[in-house]
Amino acid sequence: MTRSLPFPIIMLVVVLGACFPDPVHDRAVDALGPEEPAGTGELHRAGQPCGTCHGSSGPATTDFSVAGTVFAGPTMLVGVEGARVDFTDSIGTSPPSTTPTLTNCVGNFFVQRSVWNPVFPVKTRVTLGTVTYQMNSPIGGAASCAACHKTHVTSALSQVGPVFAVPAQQAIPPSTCPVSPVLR
Amino acid sequence: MIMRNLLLRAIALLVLTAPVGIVASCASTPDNSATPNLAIGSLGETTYAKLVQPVVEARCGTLDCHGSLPRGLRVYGHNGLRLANDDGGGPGVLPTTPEEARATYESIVGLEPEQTNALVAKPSRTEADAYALTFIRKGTATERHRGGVALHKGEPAEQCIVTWLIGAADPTLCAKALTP
Repeated sequence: MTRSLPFPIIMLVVVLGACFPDPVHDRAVDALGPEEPAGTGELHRAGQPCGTCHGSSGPATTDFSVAGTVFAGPTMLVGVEGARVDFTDSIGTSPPSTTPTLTNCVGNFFVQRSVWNPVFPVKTRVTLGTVTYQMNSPIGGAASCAACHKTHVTSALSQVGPVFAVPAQQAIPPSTCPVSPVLR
Repeated sequence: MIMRNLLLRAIALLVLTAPVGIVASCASTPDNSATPNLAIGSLGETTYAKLVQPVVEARCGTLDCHGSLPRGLRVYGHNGLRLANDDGGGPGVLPTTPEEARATYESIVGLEPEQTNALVAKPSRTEADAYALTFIRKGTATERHRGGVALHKGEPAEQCIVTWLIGAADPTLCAKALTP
């Protein structure tokens, strides 16, 4: 004779199961390493995949639909301030034009999901001054530029270098940023 | 005495070389990949490479989607994952190669070989038959797809792929699918 588990116990298991951590997500968060001395905030962790923590699974409290870091050049890992990042999604929407997406003094930028929740794929371009770089392929679904754009490329077949905005000959303006924009 | 030494040396040589000969005779012929080795019915590889690959690349093959090694379905191509090469071809560098189109085709037909074979075996295929493949169900998000709707039902890109799957690829639709 078999006895099935009472319904409340099954529900308890289901609810507890939903609370269990996601090991894949946890490993991705752990892989980012410890927090920087300056602490969290919009100047932290330049060049890292923002969406790993700033997504629906946390641990950050803010949820970004797209976010990343714009550097000076492909091998010049200095965050660039004031670059404008434009996005257009597959149904033609963009973040509000009244609040353009600009990089801060370490090169970081982000769009909160509550402000713009795009329907991927998303086309993007970066403008600094009069120079615009259009990304060749659309973003398929990643919230983080760093999902594909690596500051240190380890596989030339499946990764690309950092997002950059300064033409090769142009000098980088001096920074007054409280956090060094130079990525170590 | 000399004869005896020669005989012993000959026997020693035979004993030493025999295992090598036996192992060598058992080894399979090296595969130089010159001949097709897919044990799956053909969905039209040539048509795929010519008409469908650019559409699949554009819709599914970005680095953050299926242009990624850990994916079950891997899409190789110009703006995404590249096959190993000596030409410096990385993402966004150098056009898609015939080998990359073939590798993507193999990934599609090899995703669920039994279903692919069942589709190929049908004397005449319909759109509903094409939707038996997870490949197209996921792309249209008919089945849960982490990347959401990559192909809208009825649009040129979806129709390009579906018509290829049913053996009637439409060049006009495939070209239209690539128009911005």
